[in-house]
Amino acid sequence: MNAHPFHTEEYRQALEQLQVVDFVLLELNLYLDTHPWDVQAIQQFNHYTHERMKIANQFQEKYGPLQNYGHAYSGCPWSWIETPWPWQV
Amino acid sequence: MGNEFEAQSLPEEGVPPEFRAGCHPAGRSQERIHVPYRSPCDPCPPLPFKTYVVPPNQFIVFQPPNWPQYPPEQALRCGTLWPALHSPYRPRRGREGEAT
Repeated sequence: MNAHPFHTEEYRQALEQLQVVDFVLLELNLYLDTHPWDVQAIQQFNHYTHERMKIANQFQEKYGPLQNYGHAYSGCPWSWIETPWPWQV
Repeated sequence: MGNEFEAQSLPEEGVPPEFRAGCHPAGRSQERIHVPYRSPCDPCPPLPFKTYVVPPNQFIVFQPPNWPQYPPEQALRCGTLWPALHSPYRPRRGREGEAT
């Protein structure tokens, strides 16, 4: 299925950008578990959450769903089976 | 208890790849050195020393707020958002002392 844009550099860069934002969110999430009153970290967390939603939506429009079971829309035919599995990327 | 002399005494070989992202924290290294018991029946010649890592989170009880952060891309490569908690892994290959 080479027609799909998985073999392009943009695809990898988009994935990496998503991974960078996800990692920051992970660290902030764990930090906020023990520092619930830290307003600045919460603002940063919300900023990156908004950022992550934008990146994920752009990604999904272009490359298909990141997650299934209702976390993303599907095209026709069913797009979930079109996208490569994570270990294939 | 491992003896306390710093790992700086280790020969500083070429910069390993993971440091090119600027992740290496300045100042004291986190590696310490100890010398295990050497039995006369050891089949192989004894190693000068063995190293172990004492990461910075051993010295921090509660993380203070508003700590300086790495830029996101570098945070991903260094494995932490805060430089103060960074604990770099230095590969063994080609280093004098402890075998891999």
